[in-house]
Amino acid sequence: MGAKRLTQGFALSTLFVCLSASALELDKSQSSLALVEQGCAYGRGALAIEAAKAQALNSLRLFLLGETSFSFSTDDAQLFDEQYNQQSRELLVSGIAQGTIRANYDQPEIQGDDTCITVRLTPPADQDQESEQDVVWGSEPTMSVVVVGEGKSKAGLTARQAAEQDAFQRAVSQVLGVMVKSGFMQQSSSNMSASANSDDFNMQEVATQSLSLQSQGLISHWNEVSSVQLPDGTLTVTLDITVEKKRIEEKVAELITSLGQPTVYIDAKLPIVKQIFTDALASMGFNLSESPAAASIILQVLENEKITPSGLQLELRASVVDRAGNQYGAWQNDPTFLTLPNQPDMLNELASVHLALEDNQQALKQQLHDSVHKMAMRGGPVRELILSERAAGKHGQLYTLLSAINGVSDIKINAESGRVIVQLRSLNNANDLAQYIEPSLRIHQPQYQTKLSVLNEYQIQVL
Amino acid sequence: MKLTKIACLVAIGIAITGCQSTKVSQTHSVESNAGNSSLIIGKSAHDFENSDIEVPAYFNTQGLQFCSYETEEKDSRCPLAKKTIRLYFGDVQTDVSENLQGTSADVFNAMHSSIGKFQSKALENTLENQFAGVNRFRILTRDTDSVNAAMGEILADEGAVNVAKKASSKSKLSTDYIIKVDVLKTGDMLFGSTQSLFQTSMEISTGVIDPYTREKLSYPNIGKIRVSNFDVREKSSYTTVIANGEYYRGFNYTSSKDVESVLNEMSSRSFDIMLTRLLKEMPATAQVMGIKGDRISLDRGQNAGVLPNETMVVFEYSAGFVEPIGVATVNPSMQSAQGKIIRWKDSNLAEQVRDEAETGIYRPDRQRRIFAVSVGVPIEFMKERSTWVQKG
Repeated sequence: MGAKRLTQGFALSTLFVCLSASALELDKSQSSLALVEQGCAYGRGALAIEAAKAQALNSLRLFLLGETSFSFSTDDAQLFDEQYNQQSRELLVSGIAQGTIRANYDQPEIQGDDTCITVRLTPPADQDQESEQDVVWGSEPTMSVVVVGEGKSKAGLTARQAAEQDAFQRAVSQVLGVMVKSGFMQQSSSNMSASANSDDFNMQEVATQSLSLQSQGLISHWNEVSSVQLPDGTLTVTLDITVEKKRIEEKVAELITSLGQPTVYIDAKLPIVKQIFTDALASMGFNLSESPAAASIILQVLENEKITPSGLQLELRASVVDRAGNQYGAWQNDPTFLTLPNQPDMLNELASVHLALEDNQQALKQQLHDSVHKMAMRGGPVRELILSERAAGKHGQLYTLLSAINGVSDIKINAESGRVIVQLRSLNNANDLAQYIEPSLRIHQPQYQTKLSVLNEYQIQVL
Repeated sequence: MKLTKIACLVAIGIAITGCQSTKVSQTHSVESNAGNSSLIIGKSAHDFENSDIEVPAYFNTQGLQFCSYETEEKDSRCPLAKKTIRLYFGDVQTDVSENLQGTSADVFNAMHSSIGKFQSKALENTLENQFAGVNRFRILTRDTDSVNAAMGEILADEGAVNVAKKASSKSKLSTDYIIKVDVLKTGDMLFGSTQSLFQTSMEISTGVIDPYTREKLSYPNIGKIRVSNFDVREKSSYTTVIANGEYYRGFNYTSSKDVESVLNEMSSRSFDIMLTRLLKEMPATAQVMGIKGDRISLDRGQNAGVLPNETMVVFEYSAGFVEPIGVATVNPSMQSAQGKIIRWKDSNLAEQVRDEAETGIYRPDRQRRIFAVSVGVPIEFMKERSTWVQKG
């Protein structure tokens, strides 16, 4: 049947109402005078009910506009004019036109092929408009915060430097906190449409962890308010710090982009599946890499052809893993969605239909974004440092030095066949990471001139 | 349907002595040889006597308040929510010719082999088509070959994106029950001095199974159907001449094609019988929204399985009792039906309603609701939608 008939019926009934005198009634049983009108539409079910409501409201609207005549008794006319002044009439008419009207609807009734509904309209009550005071993320380019930082002297840093670093990180973190409350993060992260369910706190944490590394670049200037030297060597400083809000906004946007569009390598057996996945992911806006080495995420796809009594089906299982084999997410299709005759080229057709499915595309995208988030929350993708034994030196000290680098976590050191493999997580990309590692290695073995080379997104070689 | 009851039903054009005139009769059976099953056809409302106007079994006065009128009715309380079924056929293996000896052995062997070659499974689609037409079930077709081939072609012509969009907009049917049709075929040769008579019969029983619990359900009970080859063609057409155990002339029992065509006609008849029984077991029930003069307006139509020219008994349902008001002929539209009361019941209530309806529209209230229930498959439906012909 469909909408066409419905609209025809609607058009006809509207015409009918326009031509005939309205069957409007006044309900005086309540304190406020209610206008009662019945609307009917062809068909059954939700669509017909909506059409009937619309029809009734439309005739009420025409009545309120004075386009249909209705003969009131003198008393009724007076009552009507009292309760429905020009302003409330206009309010009701615009409410009907915009579909924001609040009316009472009776239970729908069946009349032949029509579904009818009675609508009761009462004069609008005066409403106080409340305006909510939100945290405003203003347009000023900077923001001043007063924070307290603590620090002890440690490798390469004086107590003052450490305390200042701490204070900078806290300042950035506070500004980020205001950003989250203001909803700025949500706006930005809506670019990664699928990550709607990730909560702001996590996002803040990820952003803080990453941005605090570069806190210096985000701070325009600071004034010391006070400083206290504690007996155990800890220095506490109170600083009035001016943070570059614009820079933070830019950085956050950058971070979200890099989190939202990770480089993906697709590992699929069937060339056609790989091709389709590649096309699908590319059209979803992911960066793709030709080799697993350059990717931070690997999408492993298993294709399983199922021969059922009804024909051929295709089961696709995709899992999101990093280079070290940690799994961050998985997706699976519904193989029963489509069944085709069991012929050789039908597997390709099945794959293309499954991946053309919007739900699947959404789920896959969501899964990829969630995986990226999960990875970020766990400290970023796993990377490998390949050191020669000479460069590695004492493993214990190497471990301590590497853990002291901001944003580096989950360090595992393995020695194998003359090399030392260090696996660590970092939110920074391989080039940035190499830059942070270099000074640490210099501290590690001041006598030894290390040569760092970034082999790929995953591996950094130290000779 | 018991034999005695069938015998007591009034058949058009056939006067059977011994029928009690007070017995309610809303359907008539179309006679067959003793023991064979008959079609049960709803009588025309014009043929109803006053005493015939009684409420038939299995009516269901459920209202439409739980219905959403979408393709898939989600609430099982909605009477329009039909069960989804799959149809299965099974041939009961009857190989009786194995140990036969003597001169008749060749005849029987030839006959049984040609009967055995007939696969009733091929008729699955026919039965699916017939069942789908009466709108009592949602049928999940098992014609996978055609569907798959079509999907292949659609994909080739319209592309994966289109197919994905379309397929995802449809909700998948989920099987509620399976209907298993067991077919038992028998064959016999009645030897005569000059001519012999080929006889075969088909017994069909139908089971409704809940595949998730393996329970065989009691409803709808289509029972057992027996169709003989004499039900579909004249007896004389099955005479055959056998010489020295070899087929000579007449009906060629050795040709599987000849035997198959007879068996096909028999299965077709058995399906008709199955359908008429199904519609008697699952009558269409609708609520009467109003009566104006003789005219009645019903709240559902095709969507509830009301057939064209349906004979329906109109009754009032109040306080748990039913009181028939009259009998009507009803024609459906998609979501409602309009009918005419042909005969009013001779009762106070019917008179009251009739008086009120004569002057305006009689609208039943919540306490005293009026329903209409079908009595059986209308004769026109069998003539127009099936291959059945009325004899006599």
